[in-house]
Amino acid sequence: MIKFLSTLFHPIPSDYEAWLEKLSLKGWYPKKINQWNSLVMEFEKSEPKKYRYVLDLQAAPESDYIKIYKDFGWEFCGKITNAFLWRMEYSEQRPESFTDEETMRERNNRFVKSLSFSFIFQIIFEIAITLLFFLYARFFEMPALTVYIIVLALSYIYTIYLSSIMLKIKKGDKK
Amino acid sequence: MIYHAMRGASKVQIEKLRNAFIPMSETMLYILMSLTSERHGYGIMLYVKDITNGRLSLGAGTVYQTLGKLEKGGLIKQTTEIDRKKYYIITDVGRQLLIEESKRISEINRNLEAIL
Repeated sequence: MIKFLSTLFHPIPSDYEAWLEKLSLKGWYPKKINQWNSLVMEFEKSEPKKYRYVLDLQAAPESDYIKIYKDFGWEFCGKITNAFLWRMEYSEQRPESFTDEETMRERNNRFVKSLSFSFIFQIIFEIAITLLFFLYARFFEMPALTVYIIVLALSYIYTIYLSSIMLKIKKGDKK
Repeated sequence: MIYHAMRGASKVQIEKLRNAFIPMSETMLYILMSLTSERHGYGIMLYVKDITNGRLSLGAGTVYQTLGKLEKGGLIKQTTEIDRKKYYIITDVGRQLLIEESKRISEINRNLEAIL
């Protein structure tokens, strides 16, 4: 089974974790975790198990980061760019990696911060193509003009999408 | 900024730390408390779980992140690293802030007991 654009459909970390957990209950596990997983993610079928997944963004983890997680019983699945994906099998109580509000909020803020970089680039890109449009629209032939308008519209939709995701992650703080 | 030794920490620096760390969250307070003896991440969790009779079970991410903040503030310092396991211990500044927190909490406790 192959899933496309998984991070686009589940952009909120806790939703992404829940999505992977649901799949593992049906016996589907990510085959290999790598930086392309936000685009293409391959799953393979095996025994259904109850796994708690945790996504933790760490741009520059300390040398003991991985060891601490492993000591606590977490299994390292891999990295999706800078995000470490961990999992732990459980039966009754769902394990948590962030057990207080403060550290959970910080975890979420790291995702918001990383999104804010794409957001800034997106805004710059958008201003540039909007300016170009108003300056050169009259020189465009018909099919090119249509394409340009579509690109412009998609870019605006993407900006709105990005900002809504950032807001949602922020709001999800209390979870 | 890192404030390692209390002898080197001026009143202004202590005041800055006070603003940044006090009042302390329960998680941070218990982690700092556990580092009055030398411990590593997982050992901290076990110790805190034990002294709270299983009530407080700290997660890996929470312990890792809180240790980072405490070390950055100079309240704790690393002692050794064995097999990628880092051991930490409280610093003099950390101990001073811990005593201040203890006094603040005792005051709350006294006031509560007078009312209830």
